Amino acid sequence: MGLAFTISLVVLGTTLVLLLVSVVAAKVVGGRRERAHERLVDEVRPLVLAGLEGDAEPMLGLSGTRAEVAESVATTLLPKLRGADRAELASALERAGAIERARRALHHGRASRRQRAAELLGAAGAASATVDLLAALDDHDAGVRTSAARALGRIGRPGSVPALVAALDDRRVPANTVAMALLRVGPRAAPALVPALQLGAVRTRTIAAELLGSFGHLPAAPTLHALVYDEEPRVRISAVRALGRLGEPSTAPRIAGVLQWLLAQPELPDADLAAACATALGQIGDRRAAPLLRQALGRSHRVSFAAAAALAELGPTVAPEPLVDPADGVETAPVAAILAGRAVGAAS
Amino acid sequence: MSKVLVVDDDVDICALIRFKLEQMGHEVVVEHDGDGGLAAAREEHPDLVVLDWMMPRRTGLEVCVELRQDAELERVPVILLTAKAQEADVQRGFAAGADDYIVKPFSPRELGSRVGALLQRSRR
Repeated sequence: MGLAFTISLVVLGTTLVLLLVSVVAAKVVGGRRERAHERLVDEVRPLVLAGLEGDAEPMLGLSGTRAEVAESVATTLLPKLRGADRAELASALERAGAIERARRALHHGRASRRQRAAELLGAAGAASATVDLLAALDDHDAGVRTSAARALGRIGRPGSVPALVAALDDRRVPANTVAMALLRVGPRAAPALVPALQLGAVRTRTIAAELLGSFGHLPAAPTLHALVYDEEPRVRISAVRALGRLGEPSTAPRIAGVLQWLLAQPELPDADLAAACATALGQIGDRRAAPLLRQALGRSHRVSFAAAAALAELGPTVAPEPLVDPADGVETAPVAAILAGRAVGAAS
Repeated sequence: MSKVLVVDDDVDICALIRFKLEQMGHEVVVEHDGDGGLAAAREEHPDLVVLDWMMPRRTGLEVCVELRQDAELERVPVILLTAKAQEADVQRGFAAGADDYIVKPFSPRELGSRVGALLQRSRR
């Protein structure tokens, strides 16, 4: 037993020593690689910066690791620039063949290489790579798909919007990445976003509603108006918020009706929706909403705050008629049904 | 030849600005944090300072305030170069004593023009 114990101790001790040595060796080797990489970056960076003056020559002669490092430096630099300098550098990259290499690299065997390629194409705003990047939304690697979506947002072609929305809807790309990409495309994305209001996934409808409100896309108002009665709470809230930003007066009565129903309940069923309604009424600016907003004061902190801010936006109010008169028949049935969690047939 | 001190923790931004300003014929000194920037300002006596805002150890805003309280450096033009783009941020920047405020992402040639204009005015 004594011998077996001693042998075990020796084996354990040797293993520990070997482990320690390998950890130290890895650190030393890793540190050397990092310093070598930094030296390479310092060496290559001036060649890339020459591109700011439209000089692609220094980058033309690069190949292999040096070309990869140059492309990595450019990918980091480009988003920090704007104006003519950015355009010059992007053009220099094109002339140096980096854009074409990146397009080919979208089909490389290694996912990391495909991802870096997508990042460079996005940073350079390479519109010529749009088709390749759209295909990359179907890549089997999640990182590549995310980088492709980001790149499409940076390039900003409205034609990319349906594919981005589809990637959002079937969860191929994280929601915040697609939302950011669509935001970068800007108001030109709006027409292609309206159909997304009626797609399957809750997050798709929610994001589409928020963006359409941000873009001020008035043609979306009728569809958003219908979504105030959507069966999903988050969709209802996003639709109300969007309508508030659009400021379309004809949508105020429905929003007021929802708020009035919520306030009439003994326990406020959905404070977020009530607050969104109050805010939207302030943004739309119909002074007839004032009495209803005053009723909302004192009903939970969030609702009171939103109502108070809305009243401040409406300014001094002399409102002879309330926006929603219970005697005229508020659409309480759909509101009650949806807030009870049951689907409602399409309301217009 | 004017001496410009560039203080930014982003190595690429510093390299970019150095490249542009050296092309314009300026001497460029670079530091990567607020404390280093302040020390370099006191040692180098630059003709102009380009300051990032968000930096380790001391922010660009704090450096700007210190420069304005230093009898030898209070007149040195300062350009804040920052990603902070809200109206309130701009107001804070000027209140701290900045002479100009540029938001990132930025145009290096525009920065160069602003540096040139401030240097010219400061020589009068």
